[in-house]
Amino acid sequence: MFLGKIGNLRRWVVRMIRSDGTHAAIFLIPSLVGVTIFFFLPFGIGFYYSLVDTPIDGKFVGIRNYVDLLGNNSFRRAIWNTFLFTVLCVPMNMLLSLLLASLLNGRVFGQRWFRIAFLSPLVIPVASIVLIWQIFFDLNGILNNWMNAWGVASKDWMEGGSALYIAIMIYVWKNVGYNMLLFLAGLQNIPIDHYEAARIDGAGRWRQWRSITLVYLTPTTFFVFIMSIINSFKVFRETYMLAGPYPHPSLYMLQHFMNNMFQQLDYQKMTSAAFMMATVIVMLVMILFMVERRFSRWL
Amino acid sequence: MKHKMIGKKGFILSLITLMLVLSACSSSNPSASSPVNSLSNEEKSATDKPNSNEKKVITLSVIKSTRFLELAKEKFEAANPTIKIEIKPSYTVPEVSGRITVARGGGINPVEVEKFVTTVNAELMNGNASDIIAVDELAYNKYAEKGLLTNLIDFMDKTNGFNQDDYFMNVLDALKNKDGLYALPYGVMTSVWFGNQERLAGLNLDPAKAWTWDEFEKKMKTLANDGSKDPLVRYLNPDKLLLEMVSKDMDKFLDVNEKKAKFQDQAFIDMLKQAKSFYDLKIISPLEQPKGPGKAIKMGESLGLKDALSLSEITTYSSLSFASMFYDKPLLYQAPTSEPKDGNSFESNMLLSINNKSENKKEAWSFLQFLISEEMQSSPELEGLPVNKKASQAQIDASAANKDMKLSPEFIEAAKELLPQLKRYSGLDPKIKKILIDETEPFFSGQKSAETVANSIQNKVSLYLEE
Repeated sequence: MFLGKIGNLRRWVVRMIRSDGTHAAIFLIPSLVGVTIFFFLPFGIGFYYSLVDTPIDGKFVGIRNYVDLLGNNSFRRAIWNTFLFTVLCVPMNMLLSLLLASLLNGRVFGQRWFRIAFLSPLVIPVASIVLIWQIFFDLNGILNNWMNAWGVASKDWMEGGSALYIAIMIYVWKNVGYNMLLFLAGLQNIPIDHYEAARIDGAGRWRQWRSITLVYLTPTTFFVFIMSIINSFKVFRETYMLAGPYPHPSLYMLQHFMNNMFQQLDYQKMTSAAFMMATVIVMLVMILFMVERRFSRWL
Repeated sequence: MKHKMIGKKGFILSLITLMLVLSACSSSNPSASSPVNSLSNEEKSATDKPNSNEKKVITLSVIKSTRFLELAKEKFEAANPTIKIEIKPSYTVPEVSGRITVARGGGINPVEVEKFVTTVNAELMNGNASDIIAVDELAYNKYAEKGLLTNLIDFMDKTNGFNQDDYFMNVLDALKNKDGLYALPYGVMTSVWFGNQERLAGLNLDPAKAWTWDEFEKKMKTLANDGSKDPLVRYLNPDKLLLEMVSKDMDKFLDVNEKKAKFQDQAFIDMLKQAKSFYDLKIISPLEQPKGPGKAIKMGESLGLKDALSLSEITTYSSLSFASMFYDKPLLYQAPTSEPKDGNSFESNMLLSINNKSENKKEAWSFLQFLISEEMQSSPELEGLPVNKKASQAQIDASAANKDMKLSPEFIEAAKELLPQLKRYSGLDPKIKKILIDETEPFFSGQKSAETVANSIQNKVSLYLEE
């Protein structure tokens, strides 16, 4: 009886060792270690900083840092700006990239070159492009020179309401190619038979697009949506290079706040801001994911 | 069906990866600093070990070491054989070129400053920062609030060797943050105006009296109408004039404790307009290029300049000799402010703080105290005016006795009042200084209105202060 149990156990261990899961785990160890050291550990340490009062020998203060942060004017401005930017950018970017993908999906003259052209912003180093923009939008830059030539007064583009639109333009320029590629892949996965069947049933182009293309593109659209949101947070790099740590107030994003806090060694504000932002994004992604699941079940 | 399942799994997987990337994004800053930490850690232990048995090592972090600090280190080590001072500059002058990359505004290259700030921050976080830190490029008031720096007042009261009467406590009091003193200047600078008596004599202007920019403007206009073609105020560029005007009236525009900026006020807009009007009215006009070869002069010789006034940064007592080089009959005038004010303001080119985590606070303080001792403060290498009274007295007496400097007794009397009159610290936060310089440039070149510029300065400075 007892021996039998041991035999069972041994057999169970051997089966476990030989199972795919174990092998997978062994192969995963290196990357897991890397992820733990570089991602989870700092994340945990960051969380600790957000709960104490000073970075060295701090006392535990609970959520006070978070409460203080919500009362901070610069932080609130950063949140509002980031939100506004995302809300404006993401739909615009998605519509534009879908349009481009639809145009480039069929047989178009110079199709291959167009695709490469739209993808080029992904491979060009940002620093070199920012330099050109700086020259273009500067108070004494090219754009103002042109305007002067037409008899219009100069305007400081980076210091005014236009700054936000410039940032949106940069974001769209940078991301539209990538999203277009994703949409293109989605479009090419749609079986042609469906269109043929629909045509035989007498569906027009609009009807085909609405009932076949759009429906089949839903998973891609979700993915593009999430990627666009995440990329909209990354526009910080370009705006920081373009306008520095203290840009026009409409360009002051969450990452400006965090970057400046890091420079000033205010880890409390920085980490609590980072955690708030991470929480919001994770929640957003979860919700989107839930909606997607519902939607595909309904499909 | 199976195909779809795999697609879905792939989707889930990619989502998970995304979240990982996200979490990495938001916490990448602490991790980015950790390699720096470990590196400096190793370096530190490597340098510490051989000495730690016999000597106490006091470390001092600066952007760039100075000859004064090197001299102090030498003398201090000779006097205290058990203590070793280690100066850790983050920037060393390349030997080949032998010159420092100086940025606009006279500071060290911003990249070097940033490197220094990052290193010090990383070390502070790691708990192995130097015992003494140069904090003039750091937002040290914020650090002090976080308890990272030692309150030096505690040492000043306790140490029996420290007698407050020996020092210009007005200078140290001006640097206090609430009730604590977290940074010690060993040399200070202030700006005054050298006046040319040959031009100013008829204007009924009392050099010792506080005066305002409005009076300044009025007197200069009167002078402009006297028919002579000579320049009025020796040229200084708009940046410098503006920083001079703002720093002398800093309390009017900045409330650091309340985290409020008031650059949108009419007072600031008026100040901007007034500064520009000095140039438009030719009160300050560009220097004319001298015709023919320039001549070199020796100390004590006079250039016999014709301007009425010139703004001068007094960095050492010997810089007073420029007055007699400029004018045949120089006098020292108070710096104008927007409204009459008691006392003058000062800056320091180096502020030193003691790390609150330091294990050698006492020794660190004894080194700081050595820096402001009569011996060190009398050194010709001192960068700035001494904060030690005896050293100051000795230097003034030496200047008065120096026949080559040709300073009149009146001038010397005025110079004696320089240090006791320093009552406000006007060192602008480096970030705010940069914002001011960058934003006002299009105003002085006539491309933007004063209101627009004031508005944008206000926005940026508020962002910074409220962070």
